[in-house]
Amino acid sequence: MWTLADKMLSSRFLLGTAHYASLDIMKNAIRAAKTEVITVSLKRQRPEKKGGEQFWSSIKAMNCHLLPNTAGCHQANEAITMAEMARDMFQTNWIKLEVIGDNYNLQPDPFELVYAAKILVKKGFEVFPYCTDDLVLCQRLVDVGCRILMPWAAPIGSGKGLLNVYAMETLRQRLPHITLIVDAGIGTPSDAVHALELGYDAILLNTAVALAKKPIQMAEAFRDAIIAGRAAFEAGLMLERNMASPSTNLVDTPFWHQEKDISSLQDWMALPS
Amino acid sequence: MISVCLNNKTILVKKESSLLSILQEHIHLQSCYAVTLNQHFVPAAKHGTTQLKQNDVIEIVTPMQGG
Repeated sequence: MWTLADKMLSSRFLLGTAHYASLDIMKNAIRAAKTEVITVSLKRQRPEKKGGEQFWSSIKAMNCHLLPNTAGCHQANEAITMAEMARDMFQTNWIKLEVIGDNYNLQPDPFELVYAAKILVKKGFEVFPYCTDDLVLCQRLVDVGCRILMPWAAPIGSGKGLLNVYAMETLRQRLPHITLIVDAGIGTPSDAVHALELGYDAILLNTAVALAKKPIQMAEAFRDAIIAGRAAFEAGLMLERNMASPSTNLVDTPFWHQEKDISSLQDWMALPS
Repeated sequence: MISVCLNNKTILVKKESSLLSILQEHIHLQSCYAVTLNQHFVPAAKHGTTQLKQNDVIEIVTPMQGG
C-alpha cells in the first residue's frame, strides 16, 4: 500500500482512458491493469446530443479515483477555469494540470504552469502538474504547494522511454519527500520498471496500452512490470561496477585449475627478459 | 428577447432568463456537466440565480476520454 494525496492505494499504475478502440476494450484494460486511478477530460457538449453520457456511465462503473486533466490548455487562466469545471463535474479536487507551451512536442509551459499551480493550490486543489524533468521548475512547483509532481520521461505519446535518466535520478534525489509519478513517454514495460527502480512512486500512461495490438494483455504486462520495478527498488539494487567479479567463490575450486594457473605463471616468469 | 451564444450556436431567449432555464430547455442535461458564462466558471449551485444578458456566451462541457 502507498499514499497518493491522502488516499491509500495498492496499485502504482495510473491509466488514461483515451485512444481505445472501444469502451469495452478500455474497461477491460482498466480491469486488467488493476489500476485505482484513471484520467478523464472534458469536451464541449453538442446541443441536443447525449455527448459523453455513455463514456461517463462506463467510467462510473469502474469505481476508480478520477484524475481529470486540463488537456488542450495553453494559458494558466484557461487551465484554472477548466480545473474548476472538472471539480464541479467530477466532485474531486484532484487535477492533472497541463499547460502546453509547444504544439510540436507538447512540452509544458513552465511559467504558465507554476502560475496556474499556485492559484489552484490556493483554491484548494490537489494539483498533479504535468511537467518536464527540469529540477528548478520542479522545485518551484513544490514551492507553490504541489505535493505531487508528474515529470515526463519523453514527449506525450512518443513511447521513447526515459530520455534523460540523469535528470530523473536527480529529481528523485533532490525531492525525496515529493510523490513523483512519471507521466508521458513510457513505451514499454521495461521503461516502467526502470522508472520504478529509480525510486519513482508510480507510472501514469495511456498510449502504450491503448495502442498496443492487444491492449488488455499489455495492461497486464505493465501491471506486472510496475510491481516488479517497485519490488526491486525496495529490495535495494546492487551498485554497478566496472571490474568483473566472479559469481562463484573460487576458494575451493578443484586443484587442477589452480595448478594450471600456477604453471602458466611459472611459464611466464621463466620467459627470457 | 435577447440573443445568447450556446456552445457556438446563437439562440434567442426570453429577457431575464436564468442560466438554468436555458440549460433545461436547450441541452440534454446528463448527470455530469459543467458550465462557463463568458469564459468564467459558474458553479452548479448558481445556475438558477444567474440571469442571462444580451450576447452572453455559454459553454457546456461533459466528460470525455483523456490521458
